[in-house]
Amino acid sequence: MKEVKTKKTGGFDPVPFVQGFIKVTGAIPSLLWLRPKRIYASEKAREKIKGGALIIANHSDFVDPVYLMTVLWYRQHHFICSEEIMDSKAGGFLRACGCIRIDRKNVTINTMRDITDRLKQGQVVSLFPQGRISVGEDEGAKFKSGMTLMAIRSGAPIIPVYVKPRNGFFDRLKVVIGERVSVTELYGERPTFAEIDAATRLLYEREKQLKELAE
Amino acid sequence: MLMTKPEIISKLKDILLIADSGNADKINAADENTRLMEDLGLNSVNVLYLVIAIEEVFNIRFDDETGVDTFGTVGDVADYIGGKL
Repeated sequence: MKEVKTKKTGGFDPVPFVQGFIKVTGAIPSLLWLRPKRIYASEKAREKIKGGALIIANHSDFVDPVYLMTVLWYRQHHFICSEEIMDSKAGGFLRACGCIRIDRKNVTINTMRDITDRLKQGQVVSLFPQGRISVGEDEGAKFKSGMTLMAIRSGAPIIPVYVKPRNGFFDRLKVVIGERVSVTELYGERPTFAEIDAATRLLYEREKQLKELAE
Repeated sequence: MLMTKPEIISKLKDILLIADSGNADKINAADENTRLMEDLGLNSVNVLYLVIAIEEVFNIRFDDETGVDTFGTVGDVADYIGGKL
């Protein structure tokens, strides 16, 4: 079993520095290139994200994390990345950006603890619950329910976001931000397996509604 | 607190019955050789849920590297818990 890399417990933490550097140097180019347009599902969805939160989004492009960071620029994101990406040459950079490695074939309790601890500490964890890039016929791929368990353990809300796939390099970025969903408010702190599945289906339906708003 | 393996399995069944009452027949019939995924139909998230619930009920802490593939059967989980008590 591979060792799960977790956040550092002491010493210099490069994440705020690296993410700050990316924001400062990338802000103007990305705003000029993407010209992001935010659409809110409701007035409640306009509320700024404060404290720990799980941001979930569809995944149609490998630059989706950049899109999320551009639109929700005021929070530091910790993206959950698969073992293939984190163990690649880009892994060191991604770790410095605050990405969290997850072994999708054998998720460990340590990974779960790491994510829930971050959420409890008020950090934002962002993930793509389809678990892979899903485009075309695969766009409606079902969500995996791991995010629901993370939300239950931490008490953090889940914020669904839909990123409309861009048709060309100069196509404007359109992102729909949904209302937060609190799984613990809906099902309590000890939901059953059926309730976890129901919460996951609810989030999937919310995502589909956001997609309709984007079109 | 020392517990026998049957006592641990009985408590494990209680946890599973609360979490998955729709699967009561299979859970009640489970023994130490019952496979978590194949026989009880648990998925990876269910196994993680079980691990978290066990930590709370038995007041133990699983090793960091414990993953969804660590345990094959109910008996494997009971042995692990027994070693931690």
